[in-house]
Amino acid sequence: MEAAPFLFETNFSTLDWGIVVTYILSMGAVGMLVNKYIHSVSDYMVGGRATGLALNTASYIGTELGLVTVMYASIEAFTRGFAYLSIPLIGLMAAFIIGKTGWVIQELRKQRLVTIPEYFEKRYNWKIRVLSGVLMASSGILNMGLFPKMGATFLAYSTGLVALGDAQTIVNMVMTLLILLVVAYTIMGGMVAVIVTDYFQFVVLSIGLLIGLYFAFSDPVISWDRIVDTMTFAKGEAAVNPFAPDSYGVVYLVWMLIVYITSNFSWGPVASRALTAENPEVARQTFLLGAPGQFIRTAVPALFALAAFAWFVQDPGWRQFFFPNGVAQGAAHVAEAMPLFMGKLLPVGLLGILVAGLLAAFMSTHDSYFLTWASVISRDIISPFKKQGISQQEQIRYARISIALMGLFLLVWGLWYELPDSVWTYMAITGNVYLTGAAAALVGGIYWKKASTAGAWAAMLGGLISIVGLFPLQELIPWLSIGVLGLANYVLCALLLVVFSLLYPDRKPEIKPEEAASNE
Amino acid sequence: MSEWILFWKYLCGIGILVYLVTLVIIIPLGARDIFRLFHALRRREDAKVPLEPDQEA
Repeated sequence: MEAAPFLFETNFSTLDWGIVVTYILSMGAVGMLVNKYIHSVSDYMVGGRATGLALNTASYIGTELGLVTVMYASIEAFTRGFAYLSIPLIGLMAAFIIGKTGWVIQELRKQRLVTIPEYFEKRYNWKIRVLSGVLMASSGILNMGLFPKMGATFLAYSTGLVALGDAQTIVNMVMTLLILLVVAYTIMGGMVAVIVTDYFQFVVLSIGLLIGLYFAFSDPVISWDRIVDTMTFAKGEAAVNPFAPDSYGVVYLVWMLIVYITSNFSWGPVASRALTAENPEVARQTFLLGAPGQFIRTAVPALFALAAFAWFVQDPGWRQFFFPNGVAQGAAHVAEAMPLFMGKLLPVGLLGILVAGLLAAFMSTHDSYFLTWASVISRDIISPFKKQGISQQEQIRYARISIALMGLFLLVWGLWYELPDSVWTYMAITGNVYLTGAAAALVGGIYWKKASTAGAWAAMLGGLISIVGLFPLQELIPWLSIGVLGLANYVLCALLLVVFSLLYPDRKPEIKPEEAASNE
Repeated sequence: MSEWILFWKYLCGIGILVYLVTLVIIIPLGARDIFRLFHALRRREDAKVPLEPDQEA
């Protein structure tokens, strides 16, 4: 059912637009100002490896506290209820485990890497580096395929822009503008700009979201008890118990714990915070100090979504829009719920600050992702095939060209691909393609002397099985849930590493073709 | 079911409190680290010597 356009009008005012424009221009200026500190590849790609603990932690949380995070967390919580809070809790546990033990990340930082795939060349051979680079960049770019659409949806609904005309056209126009903005910004800046703007974004968003949450829960029609009553009425036990039959279940949650742990040390944009730290101990402490942030970044948007659920249910017009078949029969338009709720509930000024912060977060997540994949493409995919490697200037040039091409891909993908029911599951599956194999090869490479090149090949290629998770598998095989597939893929990759390493142990190190040619 | 509701309530409350403490630590020290980062990068450029050598590309 379509709602009348005036329903989409929000509290977003001229003052809020002023705040947004000023904030974005200021961040752009900061990005350009810090550009003068970029003098080498390591400055551009890992911020000169000179970032202190507090700044690195702010950047670690800032990279992960994006507009996309806010959107997918709110979509999941609106659909699943309080049970979704189990995912933020797992995020906290994973960061705490890595931060407490320094598992993998300290070793990676010790090796002064610029990208994670470089490790694979050091431990195995250059072909594994290229393979991991291809898998990491392709799964990473696919993973961020929904980011612009979600960002544009948030901006269009929270500001009330959709009241001006056809919602889809407006979302697409906003998305195009956002992509152009972020591509230009990333090409200019580099990692130093990412780290510094991450800090400002972390401060503005953290304070803004918490004040916003206070406003949401101070509203006379919203209270904790009312949210609990509404949610349990709509979803029963599954609204609060993540192990209930209609909720996530044990297998999905165990898979999530492994996804979070492995992404902390092998997912480029997150793991790069270990590489930007000024030393291995700071790398470890970054994850420990950042652990509460890993909870808050998804729990607070989830609380907004839960409040939105209770708020919209009480209004007959909105109830018809969001729950056309009844409150207990599942929701429609879930991606629009949280932005609309914020736009209608938060006061002028605070709304502008929050939207500006989230828009900056959108840019910050994109530039961090763009930069990581571009670094991998130039250093780990192109460079190994060039005789004598490529110069620092060429690496930066290739990285910038890659960023422009990624922007083009995102535009096409965003216009063509519809948002799936669970954005988070889409992201987890696309990430799984790389994470499953890379995690096995990384952990095996660091902690098991017998891990061989053949084992690493088998594990990396085994991760490709996750691609089938993008298709509606459960319609064909009812017991094969996303959780079972995701978890089984991790086990399979670990087994492949062990079996192939034992069957085909390494004999002598392989060398690059150009080195072989020069030896002849 | 009521145990779960209580659990989420306390988890959110404690989580927000701990995060507020983290904010109080990170905001001032992070600002200091920004100046230290610029200083380190400037010193490195002036000296024309990397603080730490990169891996081979």
